[in-house]
Amino acid sequence: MKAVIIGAGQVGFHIAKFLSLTHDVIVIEKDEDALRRADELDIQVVEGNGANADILASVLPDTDILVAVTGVDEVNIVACMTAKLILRSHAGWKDTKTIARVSNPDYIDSPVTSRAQVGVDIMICPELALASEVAEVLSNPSAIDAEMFAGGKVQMMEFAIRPDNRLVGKRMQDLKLDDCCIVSAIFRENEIIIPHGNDLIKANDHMVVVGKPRAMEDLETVFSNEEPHRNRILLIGCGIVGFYLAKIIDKDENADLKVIEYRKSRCIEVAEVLKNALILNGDGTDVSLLREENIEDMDVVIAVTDNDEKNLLCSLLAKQMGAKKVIARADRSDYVPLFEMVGIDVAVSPREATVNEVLKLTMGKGIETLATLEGEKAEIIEYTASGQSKIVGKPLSKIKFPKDAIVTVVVHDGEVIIPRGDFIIREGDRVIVFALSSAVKPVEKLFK
Amino acid sequence: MNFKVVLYVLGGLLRLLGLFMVIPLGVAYYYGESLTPFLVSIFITTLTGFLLLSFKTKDEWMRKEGFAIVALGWLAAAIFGAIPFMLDGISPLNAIFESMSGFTTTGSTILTDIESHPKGILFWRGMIQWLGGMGIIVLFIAILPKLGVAGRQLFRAEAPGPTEDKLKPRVKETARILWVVYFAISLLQVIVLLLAGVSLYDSFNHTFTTMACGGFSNYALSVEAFNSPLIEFIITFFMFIAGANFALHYRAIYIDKKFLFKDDEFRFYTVLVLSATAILAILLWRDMGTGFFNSFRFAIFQIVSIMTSTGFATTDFNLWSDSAKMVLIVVMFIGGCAGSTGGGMKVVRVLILLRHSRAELFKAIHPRAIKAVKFNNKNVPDEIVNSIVSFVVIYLLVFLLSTLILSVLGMDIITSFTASIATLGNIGPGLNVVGPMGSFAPIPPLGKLVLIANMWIGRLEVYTVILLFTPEFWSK
Repeated sequence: MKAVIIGAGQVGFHIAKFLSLTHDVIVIEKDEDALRRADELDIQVVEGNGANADILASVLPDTDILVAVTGVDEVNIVACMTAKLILRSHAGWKDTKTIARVSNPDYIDSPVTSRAQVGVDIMICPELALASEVAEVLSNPSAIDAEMFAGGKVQMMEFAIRPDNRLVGKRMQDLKLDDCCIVSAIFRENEIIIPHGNDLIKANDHMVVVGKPRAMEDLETVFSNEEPHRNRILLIGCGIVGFYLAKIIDKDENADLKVIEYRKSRCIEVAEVLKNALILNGDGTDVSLLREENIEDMDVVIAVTDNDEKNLLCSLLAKQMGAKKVIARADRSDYVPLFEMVGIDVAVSPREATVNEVLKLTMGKGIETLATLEGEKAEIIEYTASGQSKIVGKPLSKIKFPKDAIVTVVVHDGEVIIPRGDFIIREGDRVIVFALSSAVKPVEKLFK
Repeated sequence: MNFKVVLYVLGGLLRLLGLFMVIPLGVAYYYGESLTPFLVSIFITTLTGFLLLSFKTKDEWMRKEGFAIVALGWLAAAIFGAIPFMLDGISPLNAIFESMSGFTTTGSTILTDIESHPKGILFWRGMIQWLGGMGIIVLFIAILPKLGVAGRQLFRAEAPGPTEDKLKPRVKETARILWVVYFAISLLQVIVLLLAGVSLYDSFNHTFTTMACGGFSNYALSVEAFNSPLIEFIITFFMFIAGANFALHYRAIYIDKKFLFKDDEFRFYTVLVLSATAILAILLWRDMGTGFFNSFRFAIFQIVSIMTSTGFATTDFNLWSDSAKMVLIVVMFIGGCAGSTGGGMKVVRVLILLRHSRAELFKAIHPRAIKAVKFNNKNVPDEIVNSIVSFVVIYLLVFLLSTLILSVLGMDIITSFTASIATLGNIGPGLNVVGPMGSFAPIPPLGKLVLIANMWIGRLEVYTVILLFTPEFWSK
């Protein structure tokens, strides 16, 4: 497989790094420094503008996928269009799938969409992808991460066990979980554990649960100590991400939303669209404003301005003043672990969101979705079992499955099943596997 | 510095080396010679390899470890590759000298009576040159399962020339292509030599050392032993090919022949070889009275042989006039092309430096002029020019220091001077004591150690080895 990546900024670099493990990668980038950094990877680099037809024509033969992720929407779109036009005049060449990163809401109105008519097979908006990720987390207040698989049939959620949680000190088997979900991993300090029935639950563990979305809604009662009540949400910053997020929350009847935005004109614009939300014109770091708006009673505070440092400050302030859960946006994905270390419950990065989306789309045959957890240490992979897969037709207990991997959920004929040892995978089943990075290769072999 | 990673990779390298020793074992068996030297070497090398492989780790390595692996890998190869020579009765220091001279494709020898050694040993001596020619690390990258980013660092630390040539996005593919091209051209030479009437054993031995720009011959008289202008011409042709960029050969063969002659470096290389040959031929004709045909014949062979850093001889050029010898000394400093198996400072560096100096002269007259140094119609970035300048400075420093040490040890000026450049440039023979028909045996032990270091430093193009001796490399 051959992939061409246009733009070697943060997003391009991470995609190149990941894809170079399995693909031949060529990166096109104008900036010398960025190019030199990318050149450290096991890839080929080309200096120049990615939308230049000559450069594209020289790298396009046999390319399976073209990913345009420069910081400029128009360059990305033009690069994809040009590539498609070049392909049209060379009948013998392999068809290339084009993916463009586009931020401007004038061009794109949902996180991932197709614009095949203009030559962009898939358009991804990092800001919107981020917003929908936050929205998924919000749907279950004690979850700190969430992701959908198998076209929405299966959901993954990550919960943090606080020291005051009643589950601390209990054994895994005491967890009363619905039949339709399963704890597939525990992150403890720097370790990742595939849990067994008699493993103890400790404070500050992070638990990854996979299962049917409907069953997941009830998890709230298992992992949280509190009675359900109306969700009080404060949103700081109402740019592209904030606005999109506000629109989603605004529709939720169970939520009270307050939005703080410092540009007055933007506030007026937003107020026109949002019917239920309270729009406040002010600064998110203004302590008296926060106090006036009862920050101590907030269930969730979300800081999504364009400025990482400000997001950090706002959310730390909110946390200190008593907000239960704070979510902050970190444009630099390197900041994510740092943010979470200093006390932010969930840090999200639009770049990471884009990288995840692109990786989901570029995974090869049979493998359809992918999410990385805990900084690429573990992966959730969705396979479609084919007739030749070694895993088909035998009870799971008879299959030599790698120690660091677990089959969490199987979707058989649209039905979500948590498999036991005697379960037999059939052809066409969608199998969701949780695996540590080291175990991914052997698992892949089982599905070939 | 993560020693575990370094030792682990060295383990893999030694295991591979042990595997290659099976080939001379077969040769020794065929000629009914003693198998002990190779059996023992295979045992020691492979065992050490497996012991080191027990350091298995998943740690990632960084730049530092990459440099350490390449530098120490070559040192380890030279030491373990010397075991067969030691068991053949050569003293340890001499054996390591011979082995280092082999792997680094230098071709300087301490053997005085070459023909008296078993055929298996001489085959191994030629074969290590062939392995070292395209690079043991490049071979390692080509064969080993995925190394990814780490492979890139190794490749860069070993690859000859100021910049690397990426033929394919993946370094493993690039390494594989280079070895395939190298292997194919070598095979062609074996066939051509066989057709010219050379025995199978001699064909292999001389192909190994021609294609690697090595210069070991299984005859004391070197290529003069064949006494055939045809064979000399064949070897000259293949030396010339081996002294040019293999990435370029790949493009010329698979894409378009024009690539060769469009390349600035290859053109300059050709011009240098032809003009040096012409000058030398005229000097030989004028000073030595060798006749028109023989002057040309000796001149082209010797120029190609010395400039590509092969070091074969068809005549004892030690007996030539000083002017003729001086021409050889000048080309010793140039060397082959980047990405070739040849040593020296490399044609591309000389070319870029000349253009850089030209531009500086121009700027003395027109201080505000913007004059970029161009190579293949592209501006050469300042960092590359700077790194070439510092390369040349360190190269010459090492050369001067080594000359000084040899003189202090009692060698005459010409011997000290040419022995130093012949080893640092991976050429092989020098002049006077270390002339083409002479040997490095008379050099004192300390001098031999210095020359071993020269070969090591020269083959890995200065930085990789010198870095090991800087405090920054070891500080946390």
